[in-house]
Amino acid sequence: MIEALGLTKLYGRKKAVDDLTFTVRPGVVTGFLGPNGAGKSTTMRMILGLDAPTAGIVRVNGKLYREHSAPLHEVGALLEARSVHTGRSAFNHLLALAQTAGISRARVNEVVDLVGLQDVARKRAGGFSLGMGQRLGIASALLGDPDTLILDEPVNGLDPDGIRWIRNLLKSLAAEGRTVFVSSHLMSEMAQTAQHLIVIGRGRLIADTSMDEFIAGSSRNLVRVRTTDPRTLAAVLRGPDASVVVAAGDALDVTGLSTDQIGLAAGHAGITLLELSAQQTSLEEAFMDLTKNDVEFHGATITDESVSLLETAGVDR
Amino acid sequence: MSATTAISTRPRESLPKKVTQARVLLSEWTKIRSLRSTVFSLLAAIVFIVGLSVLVPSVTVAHWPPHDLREATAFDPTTRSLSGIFLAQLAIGVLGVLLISGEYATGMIRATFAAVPARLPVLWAKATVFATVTLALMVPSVLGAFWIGQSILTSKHLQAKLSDPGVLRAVIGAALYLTVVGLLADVPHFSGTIWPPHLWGLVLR
Repeated sequence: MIEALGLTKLYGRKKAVDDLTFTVRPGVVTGFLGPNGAGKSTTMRMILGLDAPTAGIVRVNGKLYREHSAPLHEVGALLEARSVHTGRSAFNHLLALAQTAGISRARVNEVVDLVGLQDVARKRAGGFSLGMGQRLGIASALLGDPDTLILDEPVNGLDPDGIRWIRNLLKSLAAEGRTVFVSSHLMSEMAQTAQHLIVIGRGRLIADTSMDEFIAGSSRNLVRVRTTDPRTLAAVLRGPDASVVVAAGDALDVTGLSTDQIGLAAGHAGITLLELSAQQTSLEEAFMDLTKNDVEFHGATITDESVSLLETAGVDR
Repeated sequence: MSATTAISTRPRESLPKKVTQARVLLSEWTKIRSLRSTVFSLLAAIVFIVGLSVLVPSVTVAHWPPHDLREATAFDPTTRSLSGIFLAQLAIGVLGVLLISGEYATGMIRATFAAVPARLPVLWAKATVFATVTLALMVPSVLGAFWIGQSILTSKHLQAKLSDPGVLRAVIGAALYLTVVGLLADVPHFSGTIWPPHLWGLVLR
């Protein structure tokens, strides 16, 4: 359980995190989404007491992080930037952390096996690939068998096999009744892992909702209809709540009506349907929709105008 | 929401153990012994101390008596045998700095402070482990250097004994000096350039 109340962090005059209030509950995987620079990592650091909030508080398992007498047993964390001394072996890194909380060598070996690093545990962590580094970070998060896990971009650098492994791991940890809070910029990955979502943009809370509601609530949910008579069907379907856009050829994109409603309406009007399919918005589209005004860093969009500007400036295309 | 309802009912494998100063000490001991830089720095210090305790007295003996009489009157056999500490302090100082800055540069400090949020126990443990390890190695090295140097100087009857006035103090003092040099590099207040300035804020928050 993580509870943030009015959490705010200022860096100079810039608000990295702005009055965030949310609760992460046990038993489900909660995804933490937001564009680059939205304040995800800052929020996670504040949860762990590594950054002091300018205002507000955040409690983990009912207490401030620093109030826990055995934090590794309460909260396991994987931070985005590597938090490993490059000169130390994976085993000794884990052992040094374990010893602060009286965790046994046997448990260290157990987590090493669990993340699949047994063959390289005695090698220096500096030589690890990104994926191996992530596995080591996950091992350190699991050391104390904590109730709450906070993972910043855990699938970064993992191969498809590793991604599937961590997806199943997170789900099983949540199923055991743990609180699992995971940030990621990989929407498709999040869609397959998280049941609940917390979305932030420019440090502010944009959404705190279940994954299903989040996707269903997106304005882009539409139904694709192909028919032998698109013009007539469009006229039949148009209404105060429904909009119809002629897509390509004999296809219509309908928003505001379910597939059932469209099918029934077409039946009443005696129109033959060739295709009737709900175009489920992907998490990625829903996310883009929701955060389009809250993106900190936009890539420049190449327009005709900018191209002609380049041409007049004598730049070859 | 009360603290008790927030904690899940998941069964525990074992009773969680608290973070104590003793556990943090053990952790810092694991950290210091598991880095090559520690081993190399300390080895370098020992090589400097012992190596120069052979070299400098040998040169002294080969050129004795000196042409300049003043040099002969100012001659101190103890100092001659311990010339290595001037090089050794570089190695120890570097080690002291590496112990902290290495942890910051690699990001390890985040894992450390996540495990020990009170932070100050980490600082005490680092200083204690470093001082103990350095002292434990430097006292025998310096004593050995003294013994080697004096045995070489014996050939010209220039040697000092540990029981001579001030000699034992000088020898043990040399080992203490090396330890303190390392600690000064290790402890932030005395090396602001190496500890990032914001660090006091982190520790004292």
